[in-house]
Amino acid sequence: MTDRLKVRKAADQDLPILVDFILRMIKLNAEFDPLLSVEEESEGEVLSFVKEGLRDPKALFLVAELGGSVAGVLRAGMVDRRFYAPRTVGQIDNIYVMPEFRRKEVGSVLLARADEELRKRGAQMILVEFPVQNYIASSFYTKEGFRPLMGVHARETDMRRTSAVRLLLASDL
Amino acid sequence: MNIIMAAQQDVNKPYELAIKYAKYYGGKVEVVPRVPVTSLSDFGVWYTPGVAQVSKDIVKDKGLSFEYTNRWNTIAVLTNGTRVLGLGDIGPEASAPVMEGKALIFKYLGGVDAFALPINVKDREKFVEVAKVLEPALGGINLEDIRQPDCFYILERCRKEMDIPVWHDDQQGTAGATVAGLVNAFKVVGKKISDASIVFFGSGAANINNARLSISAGADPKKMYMVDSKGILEPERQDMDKMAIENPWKYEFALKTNGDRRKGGLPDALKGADAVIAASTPGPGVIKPEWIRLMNKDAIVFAEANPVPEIWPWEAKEAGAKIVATGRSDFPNQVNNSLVFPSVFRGVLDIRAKTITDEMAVEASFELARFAEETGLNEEHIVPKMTEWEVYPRVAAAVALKAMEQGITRKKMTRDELLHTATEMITHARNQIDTLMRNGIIPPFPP
Repeated sequence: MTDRLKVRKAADQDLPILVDFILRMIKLNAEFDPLLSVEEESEGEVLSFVKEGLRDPKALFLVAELGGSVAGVLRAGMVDRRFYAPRTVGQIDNIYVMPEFRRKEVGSVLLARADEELRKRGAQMILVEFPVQNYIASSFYTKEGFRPLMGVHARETDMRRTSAVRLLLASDL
Repeated sequence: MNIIMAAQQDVNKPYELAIKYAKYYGGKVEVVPRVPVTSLSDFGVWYTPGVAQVSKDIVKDKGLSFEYTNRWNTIAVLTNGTRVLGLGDIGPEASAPVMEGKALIFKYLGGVDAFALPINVKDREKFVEVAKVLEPALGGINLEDIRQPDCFYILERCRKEMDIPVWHDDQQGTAGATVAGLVNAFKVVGKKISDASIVFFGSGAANINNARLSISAGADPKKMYMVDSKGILEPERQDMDKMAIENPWKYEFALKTNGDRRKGGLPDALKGADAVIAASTPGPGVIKPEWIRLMNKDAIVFAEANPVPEIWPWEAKEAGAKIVATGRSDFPNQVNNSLVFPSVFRGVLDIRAKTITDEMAVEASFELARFAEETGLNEEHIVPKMTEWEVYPRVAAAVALKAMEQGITRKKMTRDELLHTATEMITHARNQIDTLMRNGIIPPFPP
């Protein structure tokens, strides 16, 4: 199946499909945690994000085609980790594969190509970010040799906590 | 029985009678001994000390528990009451009368000793654990009235991890009867199931399994369309990822059906279709006659919603349907899971099967279809009637033979032996009920 799979850099005419795929990706993320909810205006934001990405020489947009259809897309960029080595690393922002093309190695092939492109740009390591609860992504990236590195923890802002801290400060005085 | 039949004439009557009888009889089934008890001294054999020898033998060979105890004929009707009839999540206590009713049908039509077992477990992982720990007591489990998609998960895990047959009747029982009817309906209209375009309206447990069993019976998934409340399932639908997470069973159908990528609603799916299997919401008017007119010549319409089908049979016929089936006993072609589950369990218990495979379920459908064919197929007779008593042992034997062929039984029997055993078990159950009634042990209906 992989021999018929073609990966190429995205072009301007891919804009509608890139927007559709990235929107699907972020909506999928929203399924895993209410703190990743997608707002109505997100569609416009995604459109701007993709347009900017297509113009940005540092950003990488790849498109995988299978049997004449776009099967998946990948979006990556470079990150400067100021305090850590290796300092220059690549970061995968999104990989989305359409349901009917899953289990056909599309994600792996996109990732391999991104690895190659990011290395050319000086990346010695690749980071990827996805919702902790996204077991599909977790299993995919683990299989691809990734391991957990940094964790992002979240909670909603809480007025009671702020008040409690104020009280504590007052008593210290 | 006559009183119950008369009661069906009046829509509200069954509800009134059910309450009255529930109070009067205090439940529908009880335990009756299989062995003689002539005096208390017999318990020295049936119980301690004699019984210890039976236990010692079973210690050496656990399989003997199927021969020396009633395990071979005992099943649980296991539920958590999360999706009961049209009542929804009513909880285990309120589901008990339904489960008792099911147990009574198991006994009357299949000679199976079924126990209602509503449990207070909503978590699907825990449900599987409960089913597994019950295994040593049972010859099989009939899962009942469990919400989807938990029911798919529970059935899949139990089938994989247990050594006794586990069946989910809402999925497999209905599908068994539906596919039998579908196979014969195509014979009547002179079409091949493999060439036919079939629409499944509704994507609940029943229709997902109707579709699955139809594929096993030869239907081409690319020519199938499944329609839910949001329209036709197709791989590019925006809710595919949500579906993949919440209901991977339905997701699989979205991927493998709808070969020509149709989008839209039921009317779009029905254009040029040869058959529609509706298991959606009670009608009438859920399927409109003008949509039936969009279907191919000699259309087949199965409207399975209860108590009122999605479209009245006469409306469908006026709109061009050649064959109409419903879930109701007062119309021709009743697609009824009671034709399936008592016989399937009779067969698997007699042969001591370890599971019920899809092939066995298809065999049940085919045998039902063959039976109806032997008694004469026509537009109003595509499935056997429930009163055709010979059908139950026939299906039981067919299922057991298929299990033997697949090498998943603890016993071996010939077809004649299977037919004989099943007939004897079912006759015994009905004679037993008849004797108890004639002798006043089961009191007559209260005035």
